[in-house]
Amino acid sequence: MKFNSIRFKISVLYVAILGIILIIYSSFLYLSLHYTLYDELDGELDKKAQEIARAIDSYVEKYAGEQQDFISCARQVINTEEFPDPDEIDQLQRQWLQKVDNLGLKDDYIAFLDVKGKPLIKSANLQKELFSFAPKDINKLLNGEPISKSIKFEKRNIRAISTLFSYDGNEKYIIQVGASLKPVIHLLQVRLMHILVSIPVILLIAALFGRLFAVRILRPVVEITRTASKITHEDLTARVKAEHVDEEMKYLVGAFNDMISRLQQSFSYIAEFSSHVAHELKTPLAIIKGESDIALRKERDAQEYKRVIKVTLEETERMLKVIEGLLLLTKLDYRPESFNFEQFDLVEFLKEIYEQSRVLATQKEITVNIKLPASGIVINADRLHLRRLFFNLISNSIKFTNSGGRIDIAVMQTDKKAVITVSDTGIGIAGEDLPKIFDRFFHVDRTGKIIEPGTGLGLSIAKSIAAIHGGAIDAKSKPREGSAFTVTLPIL
Amino acid sequence: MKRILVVDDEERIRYIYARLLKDEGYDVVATKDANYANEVLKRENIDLILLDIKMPLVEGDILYEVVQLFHKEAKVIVTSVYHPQDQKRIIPGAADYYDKSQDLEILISKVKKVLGNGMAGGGE
Repeated sequence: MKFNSIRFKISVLYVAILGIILIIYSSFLYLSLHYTLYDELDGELDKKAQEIARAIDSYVEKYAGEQQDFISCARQVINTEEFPDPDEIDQLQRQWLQKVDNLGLKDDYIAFLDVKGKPLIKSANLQKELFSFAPKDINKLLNGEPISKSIKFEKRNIRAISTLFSYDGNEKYIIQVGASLKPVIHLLQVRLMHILVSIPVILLIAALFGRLFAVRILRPVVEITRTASKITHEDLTARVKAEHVDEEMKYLVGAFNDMISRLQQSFSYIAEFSSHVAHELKTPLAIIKGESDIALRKERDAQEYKRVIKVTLEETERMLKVIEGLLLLTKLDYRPESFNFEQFDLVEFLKEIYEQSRVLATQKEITVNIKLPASGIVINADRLHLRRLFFNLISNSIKFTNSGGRIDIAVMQTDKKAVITVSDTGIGIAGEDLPKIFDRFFHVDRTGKIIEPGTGLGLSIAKSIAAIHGGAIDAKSKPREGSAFTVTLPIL
Repeated sequence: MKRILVVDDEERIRYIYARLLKDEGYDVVATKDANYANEVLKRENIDLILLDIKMPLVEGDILYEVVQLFHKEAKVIVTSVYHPQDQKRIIPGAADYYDKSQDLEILISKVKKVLGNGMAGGGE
């Protein structure tokens, strides 16, 4: 696995996120257990301290008259084993001993301190007080707040609590009770061990599954790569199979396959286009070659040579026109920066076109009419290209309209658009040809005599010019009745 | 005299082929599209058709089908600016194929071969 692969990155990210979540979650569980256990222990110790204080109160009350002071009462409470004969133990002591067993006080550490923190008396397992107090601790105790502390006592971990009590009404003293932390620490250690072992195991398993998922998810990418490397301009038939693929990958595979389809279309279009170009250029060449060949077969008179040279010139002209048309189309399609846009009045512009068209049309005895709106229409356009657009349409109309026919130019202004219609009473276009007339090298008939044969590019050029102006061109026609071309241009 | 029908929408091509073949001693009829060609075929006995492929209205392959159905005696040489291999793909089964940008000598030899050498009634 490569370190900069998506598969690796996904796995690492996946494991890292899971790791962070697991660590936070485990820490929370561990700490919550820690505090719960300590709280419980503190509560238990507090209860024990209360019981001890209550026992002392009982003793003090009972033996008040029998020269027993607080110390001896306390000694009785914490050193119960000083009474060897159970029979002598009166009821109060029996009750206390029972309580001592229930509370497990025998193993605990108990000490009594005066309000200054000086030890008064302590259980046999203690040599000194469990912990001494700072002045602020004593203040806290005097305010009635117990103090809990974890301490190390004779190499043992002990949790101790100190609480203030009073006997005989107002004599104050402090009880310290301590219990071993061993069970608590053991429990916490076991839990920590579980956490430390389980997290790496979980992460390892997660990494393994993450990798498997990543491989599975990225399988279409591998498939796409394999297909893409197979594709050449000679073979564009390969497609990526989109079965059993995730939704997003389906879109990717779909887009990829569509792209190949479009490439395939483009390539077949280019192949067809090249064959059209070859055909367009080979015909005049065949004519020039044929005429020259025949002329050279035997001596001809000057008239014949002149004719051959004229034919050669005309056919050369025809080839140049095709090439210029192609170059212009390339420019219109791919080099929009070469246009010279300016603002001008469309109505004035079309008046000029109309005047020039009339001159062309009179040669074939065709009348040209124009219908213009009263006010001007300002557009942003390339004057030269727009002129070419309309001359292409008008010369087409002249070419396909018989003598005595009519050509109408009409301009209308709709919301944000100028609509110019060039209609004629010509031979029209067959229904099945109508969608093809804007295709490159589409010829209806090349045999027009008055107007020279077309290049098959005129309408294609007109369409491209309309498109670069943000407009459109559309054709309607009825065979033998005429055609109408509608140009839509955006206005300012 | 063998009769040859030239079907081509390019007037100048028709003119060149007509003069060439007349010089070779053939009788030549030339038409600009398939409809006129069909009229000529109905009216006259044609031995050979020089048939262009790309023509307006009815293209060469359609006319070839018509010839195969109704005028089987007429042989066909496809003459187009397409490569002969492409011509063969569009119209399979023609007697021969000629690329219009080739030398006219090649056309003459193909015509002679298809019509049978020395069968031309006259010429040089």
